[in-house]
Amino acid sequence: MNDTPQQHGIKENVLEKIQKGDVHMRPKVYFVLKVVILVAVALCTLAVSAFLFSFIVFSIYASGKPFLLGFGSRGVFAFLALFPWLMLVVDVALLLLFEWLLHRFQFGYHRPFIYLFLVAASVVVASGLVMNAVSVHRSIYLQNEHAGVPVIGPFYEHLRRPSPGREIFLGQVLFIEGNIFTVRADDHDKDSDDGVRRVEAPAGMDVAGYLKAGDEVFVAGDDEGGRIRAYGVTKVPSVNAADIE
Amino acid sequence: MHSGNSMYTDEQLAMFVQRGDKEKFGLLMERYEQKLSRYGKKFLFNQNNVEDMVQEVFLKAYQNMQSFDPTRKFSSWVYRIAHNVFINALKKKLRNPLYFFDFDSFIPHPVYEDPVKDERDFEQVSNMIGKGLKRLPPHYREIIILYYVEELDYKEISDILHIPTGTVGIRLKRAKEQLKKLLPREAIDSL
Repeated sequence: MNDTPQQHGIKENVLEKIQKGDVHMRPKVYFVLKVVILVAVALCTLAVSAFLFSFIVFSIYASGKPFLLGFGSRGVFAFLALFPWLMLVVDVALLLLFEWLLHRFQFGYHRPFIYLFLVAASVVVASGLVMNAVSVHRSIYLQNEHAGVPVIGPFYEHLRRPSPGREIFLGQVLFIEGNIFTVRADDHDKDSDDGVRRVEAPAGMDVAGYLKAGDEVFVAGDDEGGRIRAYGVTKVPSVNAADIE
Repeated sequence: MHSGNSMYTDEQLAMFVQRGDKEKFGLLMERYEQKLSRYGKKFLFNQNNVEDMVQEVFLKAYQNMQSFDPTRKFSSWVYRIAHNVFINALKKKLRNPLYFFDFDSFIPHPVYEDPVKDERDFEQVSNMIGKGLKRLPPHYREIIILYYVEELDYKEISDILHIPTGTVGIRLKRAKEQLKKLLPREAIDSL
């Protein structure tokens, strides 16, 4: 009864616990599995980050937003307002999580944070651009329009829809009357967001010389009682299902 | 028997333990008990249960012995466990959240690599430690202890604190500057 831990030295206490079996050495496989899981989670995080980055790029181009940058300061402001900032924040958060996971390895904590972050960001950007180059998102987009895609499908549904509250949309010119032309906003499905809009061209624009029926256009403007007074109109390459397929 | 065991390096002893020789763990504890107790007492002022914490360090070391890579230094590995145990104790004790965010580990510091030990600097800081260490923030206090008291090199400290070696140098420099600021002018002049 006198052999209380307080009366023993640290070494004796620890050895006693080991001998009694109160403390066990964890097997090697436990640590191997831990490293394998850590590596798998880190790679998944990087892959999701790259996928999200490529989706951000695709979503910007699919919605025609880069054209806003050619419409002066109003266009630039609209571009910034419509930029998918939340997705970008999530993507950066994923990169930080990846960095935190790397920091558990010797090569991770031996290097300054900024180096690893730049390398990881470069990998994400390069992988994202490759994904877009091989049309990963276009394929998913079309697949979703035709048959639906589980889980990620909803993210692709609003890409080419007019932005609520901002008259910014992609559509096809139906006919032209002076400086007014009629456009059918169409995201190539049968949704209710498809509709016909009358657009008043920006002052000084030679509508008949620039557009013809059937052209795909990107329009940015203000809604004035059912008619859109455009501050920017530009022709865009046709992006329809047939082209993509 | 004892002299035979003293021929083994820490890493060799750790390998014996990994293969099931539990008694060899006693030898490792003999080698590190005093060092870790000193590290704990200087780092955790006002904590009277440092022995319990050192015991916890050894128990954790034994439990995780199979994760030790014998090609690396045992001292860094066991000090890392001690660092984690002591930091957890500090977190429990302090009401304010422990601030260990360090912008210096974000950017490279190529200038501050492991320098040749400056005896004069060593002596001066060692004297200052007794007078002002207690008033330093934990992250500065710890690096001063590891370098000037435990006499570990930059690489070992980098492995213990999980920061780049360049950051070890810059943090040590800032810790010394702060230590000097905390001490009265006369105290520094007398060193």
